[in-house]
Parts: sequence; structure tokens; C-alpha cells
Amino acid sequence: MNILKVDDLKKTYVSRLGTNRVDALKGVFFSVEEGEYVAIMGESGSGKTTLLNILAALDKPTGGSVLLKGKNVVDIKESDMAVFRRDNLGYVFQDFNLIDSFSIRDNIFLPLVLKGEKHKEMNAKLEPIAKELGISDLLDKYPYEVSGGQKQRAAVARAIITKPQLLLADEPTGALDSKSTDELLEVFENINKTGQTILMVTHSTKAASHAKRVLFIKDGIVFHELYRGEKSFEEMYKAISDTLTLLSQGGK
Amino acid sequence: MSAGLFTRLAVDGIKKNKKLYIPYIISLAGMVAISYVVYYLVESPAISRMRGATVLYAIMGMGKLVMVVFSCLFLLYTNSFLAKRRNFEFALYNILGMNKKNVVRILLGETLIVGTLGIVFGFAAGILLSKLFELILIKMCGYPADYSFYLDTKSMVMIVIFYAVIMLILYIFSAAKVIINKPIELLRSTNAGEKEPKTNVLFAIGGIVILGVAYWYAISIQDAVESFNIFFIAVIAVIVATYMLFQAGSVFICKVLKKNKKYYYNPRHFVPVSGMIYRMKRNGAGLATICILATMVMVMLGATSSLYIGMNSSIDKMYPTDVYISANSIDSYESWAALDSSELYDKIHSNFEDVKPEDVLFERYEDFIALANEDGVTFLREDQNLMPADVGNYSMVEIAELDDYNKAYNANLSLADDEIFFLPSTAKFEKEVFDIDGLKYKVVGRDESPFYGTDIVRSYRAVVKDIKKLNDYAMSIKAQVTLSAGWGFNTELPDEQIIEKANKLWSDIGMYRVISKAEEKLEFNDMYASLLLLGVFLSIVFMGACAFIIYFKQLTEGYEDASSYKTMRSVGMTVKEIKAGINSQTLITFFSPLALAAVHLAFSAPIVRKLLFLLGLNDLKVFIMSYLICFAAFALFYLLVYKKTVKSYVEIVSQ
Repeated sequence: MNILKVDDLKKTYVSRLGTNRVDALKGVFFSVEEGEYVAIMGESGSGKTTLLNILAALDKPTGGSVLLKGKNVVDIKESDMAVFRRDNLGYVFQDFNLIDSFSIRDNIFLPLVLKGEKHKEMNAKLEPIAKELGISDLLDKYPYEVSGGQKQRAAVARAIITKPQLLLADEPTGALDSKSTDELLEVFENINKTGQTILMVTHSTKAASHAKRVLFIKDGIVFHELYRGEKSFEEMYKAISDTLTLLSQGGK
Repeated sequence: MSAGLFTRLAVDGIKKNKKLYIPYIISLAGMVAISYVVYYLVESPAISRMRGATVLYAIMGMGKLVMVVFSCLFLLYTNSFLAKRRNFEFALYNILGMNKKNVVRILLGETLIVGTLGIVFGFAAGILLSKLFELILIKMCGYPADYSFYLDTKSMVMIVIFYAVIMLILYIFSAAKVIINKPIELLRSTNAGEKEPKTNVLFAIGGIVILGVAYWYAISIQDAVESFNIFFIAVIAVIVATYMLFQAGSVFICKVLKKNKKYYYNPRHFVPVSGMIYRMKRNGAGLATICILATMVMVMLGATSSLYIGMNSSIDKMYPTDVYISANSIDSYESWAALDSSELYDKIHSNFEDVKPEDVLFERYEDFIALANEDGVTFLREDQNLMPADVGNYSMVEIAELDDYNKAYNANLSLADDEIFFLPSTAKFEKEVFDIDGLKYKVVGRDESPFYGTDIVRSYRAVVKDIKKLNDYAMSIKAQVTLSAGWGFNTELPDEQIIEKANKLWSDIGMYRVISKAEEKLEFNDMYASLLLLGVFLSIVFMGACAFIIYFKQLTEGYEDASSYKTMRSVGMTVKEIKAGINSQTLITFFSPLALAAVHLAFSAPIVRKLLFLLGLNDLKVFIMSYLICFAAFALFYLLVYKKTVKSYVEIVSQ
């Protein structure tokens, strides 16, 4: 069943004086099945972050529709967006976006507190997730006291604690060293195994090779698509690299 | 690299961060301006001529102290915030190949530019403000304008030195940070949070104890004169205790709130409480300063306005008769004893036709400055001078003769030779025997009704049967005593005529001073009006300072918090929820100082009342009303600042 359906999505940026128009998205079509793990790849400026921001209801498209479980995200009123995000989406940022004034525990609790959940329920939800992500011992520390990899795992915990329909990740490994990257990708895979749908934007071939499907965006449209199928990581890695080489040579 | 480059980099740095540097320079300038105004007013000849300047000096002395503490803390606070931002750039310069010596030179350039701008603008504003104030004063009260272009260079030098030292200390702090830390650490320091402070129980308890003692002194003090001395000590104690309480107390309260999971994990409290814990230390100092400034403003306004409003009734009490003739320092007992002559009554009658001799209230007394001790007083000997060390023990003593007293007040008191009866005085004597330097009098009674007068020092007023005995005794031991007398009477004439005729009478009599209540009233009006004006002016200055700290605090925190709020929005916090959180956070941080200030105000009321009492204000109702109105006015002002601040904070964080 489709959990997400993106239909002819367009986004045009107009400079303040209206003289300069940039088409970031020219008509993007794709859909995501429930329980899928999709990576979106593309070079800087290809429009992938714009796409993710629209999916996360952080930005409005110029045209087209985004159906999340049949509900058009584009039509949601500005004032209801935050609540919609809170209830349906989890978001992992490149630079973690943990709040310095909260301990790791409170950072993870934030969306639940906003939902008005009881402290006991929150704790019950946190425990297995913290164990799974290996951050049980860090919960009472503050973001500036832990490493980048630990921060990102905390951010993942915050994103999945609400059991969102869709977990969106924007270059989640972008600010991590290779060891932390491996750990985080393993975390993503494990989460996906539990049935969590993941949509990740990245330009790291390694990160993308862990996904079940990779979409390539170039010049504002979905250019190509790769399914992992029965491929191993190494085979997938090679297939992605080849596609990227082809793309950069401008071939079709 | 050339010096020009450093200057350019320093100027660029300031320009690039002008959103932060401009408020910083303004706050420095504001503090210099306020310091100058306060110093100037203390030194200004216009103020020292005012009656009741002493109370003002007391308040402004306290103001000077608060300004010093406050300037240091506030600049440290704002600077730490600025430094965090600037460290990023410095680290970048460092990484791009500048050595640390160069970076420190750029920092020096910045400090010099900021310091110079702040001090120059500050003096400009300060001179303008103080001149403006003096002009209003001159216009309102008709003081001569001969000193209107008086520049207080001594104060200026002191202020420049003071702020230069603060800037130097801040520079050393920042430079040391650049030198000690690795560039990469500086790069990161922009994001590093403050460590969660430990709860300092000793500090909290210490604050409560000091405050309790100060409060207890303030309410238990009975003696009006003593209250004058206690006042300063109490003020300093309250200031110290307030800082301690806000530092330790706010940490403690926030931690208690955080421990209560049900309270803490509530959408309405979650963000505010953690935000407060995060910068509790800085909050503590800022809030304590706001609290003290608020208290000062309210005490100052309450005191000056009640003096002004209560003026008429106090003058009536201080001058029971319309006209009073006062004869001081009469050289011998014989001429003093013969004072009550008909010649004087004729002169009175020739000017005030409706006054008959029997309507004139006549009083004679012996007066001297003495040193008080447990059993009574001792005279100053002829070869003895008043020593500054003894100032706390000086007493004014006035002793009247029984016959005069009975006649003047229609009393029929009777006393034996060695008996004494106390009249209303500023000092209380509780023992049974009053010892005047060896001459012992048995205390047979006291008139406990309140004293009306303008005595700042301790005073004793009493009646004995025979002044001659006392005077002879004083002469025999070569004591410094004088004999005085006074005549008072009422008249039906209108005020202008009273003033005119009293002056005529004065020139007729020549040697004795003639005082009319009508003229005193006019003079008092000028004095208290200017006192009130000064109170209002200083209040505006301090309220401005108050508003500025609040605004700057919110502004800087807004920039700091902007990214947190962005995250919260992307996690799913609605703008409405953000606003509610901000409201409750600012509500607590805003109104806790006001609440403590109200408590300070309540406990200061008895001691301030006693001080005002020395200035002749006795009307309790006027005093309480003035205090309440001042509190209401200040709370209203505070509310407006709160609204405005919350608005700009929300604007910053929701960009």
C-alpha cells in the first residue's frame, strides 16, 4: 500500500524583485510503500533538500500534491502544520538540531510532551528505544557533552519515539565520521526492519547503498531509480556509483 | 601586518555584529550616563541647598553602590554573550593563518572602539540629562542660574577610570580565552551550553538569614535617629541578600520544579523551566539587579511624593503658631531671665494689631550639644570640640523652665528641684534617673506624643523647675551651654500680609529672628517640589536602566534561542504553544523581581517612615497612599515593558 504519493511536485523560487526565477523542482513523481527504505540522491543544488522540506511540511510547493496516507500535505493550513508534523512525521537533521538547554532525555521527550503524554508512558516508550540505539547511559547528559554520533542517535530516538508514519532524514550522516556513519546506518536498517518507513536524502553512496530503493534527482526531476532487490551492499554500492558517474557525464 | 588592518578588522567585526554591538554600546553609554547623573547630582550645589537633601543623599549613595555592582555584572553578562559569538570569528582568523597575538590585537581594537564610543556617548547623554534636569529645577523653583554650566570634571574622571578598568578586565578575560583555548574549541564554544549550576544551599540559607536580619532591624528600630544610621547598613544587607537569593534561590526553585515530573513534563512548563535552568546564573544577577532598582525607584518615589503631599500638615505641626520669634545664644542668665519684656509685646502689637500680649506663647530654655551615655548626657567643655568619632553619640538637649511651660501650654505640672519631665523628643530615655554630667534628676513623667521638628540628630527635650541651678552648674564646670527663648502667636491676617509684617517686625527687633509660617510654607513648597522632581527624575533614570536590562536580556536570549525554537517547530511545536511557553517563562522571570521588590518595599516602610519623620512628615495615611500609588504606577510601567519585550522576543525567535 502506498504510504506516500508525490504527484507532479513543483517548486519555483523567485528572487525578491521578481527578476530571477529558479526552478528547484520541475515536476517530481514517485511513491513510497509502507515499510520501505528509500534514499534520494543527487548533487548539491539538485533540489533534494527542497523536496524533503516540502514532504516535512516545512515548505510549500508551487504546484502538485503530496499525499501522506491519502491526505494532501499541501492543503494543510499553516497553523495545523506543526500538529500534523508532530503526529505523522519524524525528522532527522544533518546537524542534529538537539536543543542545548534540554538533556538528551528531554530532547527525546519533546514531541511526546507536546502531545501531552504522561511521564510514565513517555518513560515506557523511551526505554526500549534508548536500549536499541545504545544511548541508555547518556540520557541525563546535555548535547554539548556527547559526541556527534551519539547526538545523531538521540535525534533518531526523538524522531521515532512518536512512531511516525514516515521518518524523514536529511543527510543524517553528513556530519559524522565513518565509524559513527556505520553505526547510524545500522540503526536505520534495524528500525526499518521493525516496519518503520524511511525516506532519506543523501549524497553519500555508502548511506544510499543501505536503502532498498534509490531515487536519483537531477535538475529538479526524478532521473533514475535503482532497486536493491537481492543485491549485496557491495553490489548496490557499485550500481549507485555507476549511475552517479553516468549522471555526472550528462548521459541519459 | 599593519596597525591599519587590525583597526579595519576590528571595525568590520563590530559592523558585522551590529545587532549585538549596538545594544552593547548603548548599554555601556547608558550606564556611563546614569553614573554621571547620579554623581553629578550628589555634587551639584543646587541639590545640596535643598532641604531634605540628606534623604536624597542616602538614596543616591545607595544608587551609586548599586550602579557599581550592576555595571560590572551587566557588562560581564553582555560581554560573555558577545564573546561567544565573536569567538567563532576569532577562531576562523586563527585558522586562516593569523597568530594569536594578532587576534588579541584585533580584540584590543574592538574593546577600545566600543569603550570610547560608549563613554563619549554616555557623557554626552549624561551631561544633557543633568543639564535638562537642572534647568527644570531652576525654572520650577526659581533657584539662581549661576551654576548652570557647571561640569563635574572630578566625577567624569572617576567614571572614566571606573569603566576603563571594567573594560580592561573584560578585555583580559576575552584575550585569555583566545590565548588559552585551541581554535577548534573556540569554534565550538558558540554552541556550548552553560553547565547546569549546582544548588548552593549555603548561599540560599545565607541570603535568607541576612535578609531576615535586615528586615528585623528595619521594622524593630524605634529610635528615629538610630534609623538613619541603620538605614545604610540595612540597604547594603538587603542588596547582598537579594543577589544571594536570586543566584541560589532561582537555581533551587527551578530544580524543585524540574524534579516534579508531572509539572515539568507539561507542554506549558517544559520549555520555560529548562530554559530558566539553562541560564540561571546570568538570570540570577539580572533579576536581582532589576529587583533592587525597582525597590529603589519605589522607595524614592514613595518618600518624595509623600513628603510633598504631606507637606502642609507637617508644617502645621512644626510651626504651631503663625509667627514665631526666636532668640538664640543669649549671653547671660540675667538677660535671659529678663527677656519677657513688654517692649517686645509693643513691637508685636504695632505690627500685628490683633495680637494682645496674653495671646503670645512664650518659652525659654537652656540648650546644648551633649554626648549621650547610658545614664544621661555629659556637656561638651569649653575647650572641647565635636569629634567626628563621637558623631553617633551627639545629642541636642533643650530644657525649659517649669513656670514657662505651665504658662505656655496651660498646664499645671509641678516638679521638685531634682525632678525632670520629658517632652516629645527624637530620642527616648527609659531610665528613672537622668544624669546631666553629674547633676541627677529623677524622671517623673514623659509626654509620649510624637515629636515634630527637623532634628536629624538625637534630641532630648524636658522641663525642670529651676534653670538657674542647671545653668550655674554648667558654668561652674565650664560647659558649653546656651540660653534661648521664643515667642509665638497667631493672627487673622492673610498670608501675604503676614510675611510682609513679619519681616517688618524682624527689622524692628533686629536681634531676634522672626519666622512666619506662611513664608516657611512657600519655602517648603519649593523644597519639596524640587525634591519630588529629583525623585521623579532619578526614578525615570533607574526605570530606564531597568527596562534596558530586561530588553537586552530578552534580545540576546532571543538570538540564542532562535535555533532552538526552529528545532521545536520542526519537531511539531505550534506557534501558539511557543508563545504560551515564552509567556510563562517571561512571566516568571519578570515578576519574581517585582514580587520581592514589593516585600522589600513593605519592610522598608517603617524605617523610611522614621526617616521622613525627621523631615517633618507625620501623616501615616498620606505615606501609605503614596507608597501604594507608587507601587501601582511602577507595576503598570513594568507590565508595559513586559508586553513590549515579549513581543520583540517572539518576533526574533519565530523568524
